[in-house]
Amino acid sequence: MSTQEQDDPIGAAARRLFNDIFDDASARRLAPGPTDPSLVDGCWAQCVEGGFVHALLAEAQGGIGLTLPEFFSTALAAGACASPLPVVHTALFLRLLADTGAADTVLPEGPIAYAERLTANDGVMSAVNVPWAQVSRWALAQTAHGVWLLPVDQHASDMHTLVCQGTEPGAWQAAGGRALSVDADTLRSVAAAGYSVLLAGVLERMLAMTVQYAGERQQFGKPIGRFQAIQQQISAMAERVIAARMAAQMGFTDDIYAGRQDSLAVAKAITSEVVPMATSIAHAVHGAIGVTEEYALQRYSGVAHAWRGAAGGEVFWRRWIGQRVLADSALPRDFLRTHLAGVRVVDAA
Amino acid sequence: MQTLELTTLPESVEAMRGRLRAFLEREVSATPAATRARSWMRFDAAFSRKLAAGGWLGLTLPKSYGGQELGPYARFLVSEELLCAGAPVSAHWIADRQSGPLILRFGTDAQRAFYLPRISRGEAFFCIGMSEPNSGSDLASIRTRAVQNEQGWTLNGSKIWTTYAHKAHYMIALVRTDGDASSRHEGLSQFIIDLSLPGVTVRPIQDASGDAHFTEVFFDNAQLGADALIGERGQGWAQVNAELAFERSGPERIYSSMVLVEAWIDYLRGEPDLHADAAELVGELMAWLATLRAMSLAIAGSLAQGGNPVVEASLVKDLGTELEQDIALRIAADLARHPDRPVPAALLETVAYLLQVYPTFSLRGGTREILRGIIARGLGLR
Repeated sequence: MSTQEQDDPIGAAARRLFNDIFDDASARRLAPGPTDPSLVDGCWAQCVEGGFVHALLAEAQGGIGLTLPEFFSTALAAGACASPLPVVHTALFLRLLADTGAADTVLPEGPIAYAERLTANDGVMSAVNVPWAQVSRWALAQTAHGVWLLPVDQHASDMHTLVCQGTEPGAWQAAGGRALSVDADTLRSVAAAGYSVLLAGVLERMLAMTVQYAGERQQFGKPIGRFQAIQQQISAMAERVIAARMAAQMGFTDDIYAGRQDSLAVAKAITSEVVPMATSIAHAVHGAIGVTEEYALQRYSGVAHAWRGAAGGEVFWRRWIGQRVLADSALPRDFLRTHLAGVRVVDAA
Repeated sequence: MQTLELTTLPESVEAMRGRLRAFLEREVSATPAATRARSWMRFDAAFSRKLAAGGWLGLTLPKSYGGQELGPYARFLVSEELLCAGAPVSAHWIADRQSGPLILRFGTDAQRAFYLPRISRGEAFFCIGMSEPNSGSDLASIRTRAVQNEQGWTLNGSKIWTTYAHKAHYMIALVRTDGDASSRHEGLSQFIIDLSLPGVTVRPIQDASGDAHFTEVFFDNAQLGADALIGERGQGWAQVNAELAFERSGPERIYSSMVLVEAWIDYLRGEPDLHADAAELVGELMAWLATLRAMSLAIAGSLAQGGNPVVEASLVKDLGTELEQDIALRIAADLARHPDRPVPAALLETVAYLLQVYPTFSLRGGTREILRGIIARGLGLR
């Protein structure tokens, strides 16, 4: 066992399981594209069995009571496999449901997707551009009637659109949905914190692939990674990928459940911002092979773009931070330390 | 390359902030923003001695040499406060950041006993002798040469772009002692040069803003003592790289434009109708500052644990200087967004100063291209 595994057995177990069940072949069958219910159920059962889906719940609720920082390496590992199922988000949402529900709340089973806002269209509720729309059993979303957990109509949903039956609370209740006493900002923040870490993970994976490819691909008689023009680009990518990981770590704190969202805003603003440059350089280095169906890079860059926009992209979260800073009276240097840093600070100044 | 892990300043270190902040309020806050924006390029020996008297110099040096023995976290906090306040720290900055730690690590007992207490008291100011007229990024091509003789060493050659050699007492210079230019990294050594010696001439170079912090330094048969050699003869390259890791890792690589950020946000807070347009840029810059601060702090953490984060320091410096430059360029654009709105003169002067000097941010301490080369090596590409 390596030191890393000894220091972080949960993260190491997550890396092993996700690498195993979300390998290239199964990931390609899981998403995007036509789904295979038995494959989804089988993979999901292994995530549950491994303890990852319920990791953030207290032991009394069948979990292992991890804090978000303790869950960080697991979430990063999911991102590094382009997480074809919403393992991280389901774990985050189950904790939210457990925290806000009554003591005897029965927690839902199966994958939960975040849909931002469901609107009534042609007798159903729907939302577009929802990651995991086709593989989720539940949708957690704002509606005209507050925040609801609704069963997903998997037959009516496709890879772009998530559909739930019924257009008003009575029908939702009858179908097994439930209204939640969660404010929409907190819900979005929890979702965004998950996307930030997933992004950090998938960006790290794309960097590793790019470095490896540059070392193997030969042109002009030597690996392309020996050319300074390539080195300078990959270094610039590496800087931003490492920054994205740091930002994601800053935002992945239990404070998001308590409505303190400043460092999460930094996390999503930075991780989303890094996506265009990192994906562009990764693809430029790989050349045409990178966009082929058989090669995994396009799958990673595809989810990176989807996660960049989900739960607010960089422009949304920059404005959010900017408005907070402008409405405050603290010196910006202190606002950085005490609000944006993502670690509790004893303010002695 | 090691991972940068989120870290936090120990409470004992955080507790230093209040007294230092109060001191800086008294000493610096009345200075105009455009002057404070000069930050670590502003030289004030009296101010440095007041810092020494307050116990804010020699932070990483042992108590036996008059230091505070507090380590990298304390240096991070003190640097952060000084830079954000725009305090005139240039006099002692080099000695405190790299010359002191270099002498502690490679010096003889006699060298340590002589220099370190003077550094801790703010009485010995240092400059860095690396670049030469024909040796910039290609540092190993330097030609300044020290030849051993009976009294010690004779020094001939010149250094350029040396910050404040005309005001510092000593230079730690990288020079050739053995071999020739084709020997490259072999045969280089470091010397502590007393700048008051005969044969040493310093000529200031005026910059675009009218300031003169750069200098050119000429050595014409300058006779150095035998004890001017620091560290091992022929090990200059390795020593200078250890020194550059100190130089590249600090918060001065993210806060050079912080005085402007604060002046700009202060102005915007009084103009609510500008918020809708400016909020996005405020948020973007603050998000990057927060992230880079965390990365810089992670490097202080690595140093505190005895690590040698050379590659990591390079990547933080490259990202950090890009942000410092971006701040000047993009705030300038924001202030020009509404030509019909008058902008306070002090804010415009601060931007104007930074627009004159920002190109140097990604030159000093290693250019962008050199740093990315170091990162590429860290990634295994070269």
